[in-house]
Amino acid sequence: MGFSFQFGRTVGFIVRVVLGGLFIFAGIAKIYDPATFATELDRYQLLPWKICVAAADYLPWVEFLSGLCLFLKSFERGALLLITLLLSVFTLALASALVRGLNIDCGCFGQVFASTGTILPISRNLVLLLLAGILWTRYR
Amino acid sequence: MRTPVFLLFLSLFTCSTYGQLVFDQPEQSFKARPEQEMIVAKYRFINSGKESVKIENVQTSCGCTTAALKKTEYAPGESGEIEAKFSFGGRAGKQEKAIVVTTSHARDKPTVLRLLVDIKDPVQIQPQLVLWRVGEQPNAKKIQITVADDASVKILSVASDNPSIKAELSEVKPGKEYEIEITPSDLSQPAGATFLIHTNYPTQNPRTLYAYARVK
Amino acid sequence: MKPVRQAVLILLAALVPAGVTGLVHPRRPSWSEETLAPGEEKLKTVLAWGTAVLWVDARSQREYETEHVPGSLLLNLEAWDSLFPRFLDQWSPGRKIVVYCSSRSCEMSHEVAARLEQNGISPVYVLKGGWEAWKAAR
Repeated sequence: MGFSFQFGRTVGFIVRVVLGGLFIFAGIAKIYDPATFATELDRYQLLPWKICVAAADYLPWVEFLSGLCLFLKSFERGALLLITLLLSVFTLALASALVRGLNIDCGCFGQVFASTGTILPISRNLVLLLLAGILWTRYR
Repeated sequence: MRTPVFLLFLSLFTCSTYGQLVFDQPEQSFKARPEQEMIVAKYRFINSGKESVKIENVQTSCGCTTAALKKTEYAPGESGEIEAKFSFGGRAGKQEKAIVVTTSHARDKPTVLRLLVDIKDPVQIQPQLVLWRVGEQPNAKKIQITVADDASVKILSVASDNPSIKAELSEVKPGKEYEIEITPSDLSQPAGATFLIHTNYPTQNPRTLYAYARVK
Repeated sequence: MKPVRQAVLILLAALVPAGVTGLVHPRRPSWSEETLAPGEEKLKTVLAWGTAVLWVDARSQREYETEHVPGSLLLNLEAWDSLFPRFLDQWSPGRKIVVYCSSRSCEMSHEVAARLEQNGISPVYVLKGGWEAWKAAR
């Protein structure tokens, strides 16, 4: 019982470092260059341009703060909730692009269909969601 | 342990099955030479479900890729294949084409088949154009010809169609690296030349490659 | 504090730096529409360049013969060896080259533009929206 308790705490810590660290880094990278992020969001053709701009200004900060708050006792669960939501939304958007992207005629419209650069992020996000799931179980 | 996250996670996983048709190799990669002019890829699949599946639409991303099917309806357990043909059309480099398959069983979740081709021209001419401006000094310019590692191509000769712009071929590394030195004799007015580069590749049908000079 | 309350607080806290980003960040995206990929240009901009433009049609011979931008030259990869020298005869350094294709041409305009640039020819632009954009504007 003592061992599994320690093990649970260690696993929880490692998962928090991975998830939190990733979100902090990802947030910082996008905070640094919101214009590029806005263009990338626009490529998915899910949101009007102005919403992409607002999201590019706002979302990176949510990512960054959520990553940080994962290490703060009094905000840990809220941060995890946000991280889970963000991951789910990103993954669904990626899947949508993967499926729809090829129905758009390729060519001069500048919409390159989703390349294999979409399958990898989707798999990665699914793994991250699994990690988030692990953390959730600690709150039962 | 039934948390919302796990349920969401599971549902995301099940979203990735493509109706009932299970494809052997939805993504196929090829390496090719430009003279092959096209690639044919066969995408085999099997109906792994309990109901008959009808393929309603097979759509390619554009005109250079075509896809063909022998029949549209597949009984449970039956297998079939989609034959995709990609015509190079002079393209080179890494190409990626897609075929979207929509079935009666999962209209809103079409399958995406990918065809990746790396078209490598073993002979690279860099640059293909040498340019002088009128009034410039008639200094010689060089064109490099490089052959890929896995091939050996002999440049047999280079000829210029304009006697006032000369082309001289030199062998840097036989079968691997060549150099053409272009020397214009007079830059007082606009001029141009086409260089015919005769090679021994491919052996069945040796190509003539081209380079150009312009005085503008 | 319940997790939802915590999440809302984080979301609210993020609004402040986000607002600052939107106002003063040197790399903030502009609110006006129309993002252009590198090398692309809008039809409106291109038309304003007037006669400085050398139009290049990267579609098939058949499409070109049916209809093309007046004054444009056909240049595609399929017949590159016969078309490129003709292009070179018409081109002079300093002209703005604008390449277009259609949605059926599989990104050919980008490939032709890349090959022109490889040969030291510039500036080369790809028309955003391609032939369809031109037709729509007529």
